[in-house]
Amino acid sequence: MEKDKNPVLEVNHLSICFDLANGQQAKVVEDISFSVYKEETVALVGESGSGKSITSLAVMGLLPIPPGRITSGSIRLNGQDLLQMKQKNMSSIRGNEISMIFQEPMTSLDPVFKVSNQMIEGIRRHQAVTKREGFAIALRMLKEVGIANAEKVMHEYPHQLSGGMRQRVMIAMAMANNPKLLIADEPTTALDVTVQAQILRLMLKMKREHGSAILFITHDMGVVAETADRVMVMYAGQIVEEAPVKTLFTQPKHPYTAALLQTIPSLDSNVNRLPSIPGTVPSASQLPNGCRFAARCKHAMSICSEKQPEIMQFEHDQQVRCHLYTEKGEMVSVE
Amino acid sequence: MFYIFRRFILLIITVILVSIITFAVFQILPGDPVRTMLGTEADPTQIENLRSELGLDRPLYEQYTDWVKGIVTGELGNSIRFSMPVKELLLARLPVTISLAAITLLIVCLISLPLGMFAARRQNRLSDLTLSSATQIGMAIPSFWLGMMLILYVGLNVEFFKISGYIPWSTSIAGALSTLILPALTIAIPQIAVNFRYVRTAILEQVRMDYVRTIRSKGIVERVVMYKHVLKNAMIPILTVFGLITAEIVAGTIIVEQVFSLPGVGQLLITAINNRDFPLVQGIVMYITVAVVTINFVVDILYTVLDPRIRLR
Repeated sequence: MEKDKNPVLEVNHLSICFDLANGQQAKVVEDISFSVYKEETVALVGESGSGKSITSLAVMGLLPIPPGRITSGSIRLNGQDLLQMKQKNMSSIRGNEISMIFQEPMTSLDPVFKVSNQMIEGIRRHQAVTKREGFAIALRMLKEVGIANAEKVMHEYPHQLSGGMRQRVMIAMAMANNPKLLIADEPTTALDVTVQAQILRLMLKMKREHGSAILFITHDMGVVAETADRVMVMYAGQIVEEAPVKTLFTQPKHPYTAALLQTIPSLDSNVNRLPSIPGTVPSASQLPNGCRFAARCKHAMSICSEKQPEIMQFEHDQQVRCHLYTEKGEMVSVE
Repeated sequence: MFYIFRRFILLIITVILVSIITFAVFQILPGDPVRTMLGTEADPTQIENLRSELGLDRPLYEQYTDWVKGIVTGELGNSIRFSMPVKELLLARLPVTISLAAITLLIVCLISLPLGMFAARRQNRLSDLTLSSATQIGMAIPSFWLGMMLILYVGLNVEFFKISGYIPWSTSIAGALSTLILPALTIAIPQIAVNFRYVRTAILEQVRMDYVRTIRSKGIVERVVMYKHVLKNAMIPILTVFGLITAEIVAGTIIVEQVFSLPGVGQLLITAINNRDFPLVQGIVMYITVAVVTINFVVDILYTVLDPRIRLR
């Protein structure tokens, strides 16, 4: 791996909490650390409410503050601490060095401005070009994301485009300033399955051509298998396992990861009902003292509900937060 | 195009309906214009004569069709009270009322839009809560009382303002403003209060939208996010309210012109009603109708300018 090089994005011990209306605090993200390296695709996987989208918004500097609050940690982009940065400086990084595409292509574009206007706006915000040059860049980007009639699309409004087309426009917009990091927050969830595959391939192509890194946020293990180099599994605000994609799929160490992998429907297995993980994610305002997955874990021991497990390092860059390994060193394989 | 055409048909239908109602109301309304003109001592033949002279003895549908013909050609008949063509009376007073309405609308826009935006961006903070409760009061103020208070405390103390009468623009721009600003404020203040709330709500609704997050993710500065994107999107619901408010303003001029003795259409209407001057009342009501319906038509066209999604329908 390229671990010896400096990471594009380095998140260190990041904790985020939300102040609730009733005076309680919801710890939505707790003490997460990860890095994303150049030209790497890192997937952040978890159920809804696991804190993965909040993490991405924090990286973008778009966390709603208040009620959100970053209680500790740092987010570094090429060594520069984004959390110490003034709003004004942060906005010149946003859309330039880090950009983002979102889950809902249908609602993520401004309905009352043409595609050209919205694209040129972003380009001219970060590049000193004329309107005409901005238009040319936008047009080139649209062609690059595989829009055949790019000239026509430039002059259209978002509602005139299909969901897949809009997501292509979003990608073109996000890549127009050659960002070092692209955050994709469930970019294919709202799309048809056939379009999903096209968009995923397109993102990987754009990543290669522009030399960016991708932080891919998803709950879809199938998408992870297709795109990611490395995977981080989030549960209730913590990263419970991190591993290269092959390792994660062949030797999942955390019981939650194993359970997630079992929820992927397979063509070979003959099941009537898709497997699911019993129980629900604990509420971020009422987190248990011990391991957060303990209540749903098949392998839960007495220590699991008493003490939080620490992160353990394994070979092949695998990290796991689970008592099964802290107590015994090596455990029976998790199935 | 079809959208605009459909709106235009609606406009025509509204005008026709109002013309029928305006005409019918005078048949139902107590008080005979002829008796009012001749006084209680008039003898029956005199009354009959005047009645046929005014065409009031003819069948109703004839009277109506004649009147409609008059509206179309612009000849609204003669005023009974002033013995002058209604058209001339209206034309003489329209500039006052139009100036008043225009200044009022301008004040409402200039104050309620930035104020609503300001409050929305400080949602639930002290400044927002103060503004919101202040506008509660603003909405509750009756405009005739507000007008009198403005005369009493501002008009009489500030040299610039005239508290009664009108100075035409052609004579002096400052003069016209000195007679129009206080009455405009009188109509505007309650409307600002109403409109402020709509603007605030519309902005808050837009700020939550996904596309705003996208624009922010492009690094666009907050001022542009708010004044370019959010405002334009929010203008679609706000515009509806502006249409309503403009109608309110036109109606508001009637009372306020009385309070400030402005020789406008509203004042003319009151005189006309008091004298059972039916050609004049009908003429003015038609003018107000056409004005309000036209404003709504303009609003409908503005929608298509603001919202590309409407153009397809």
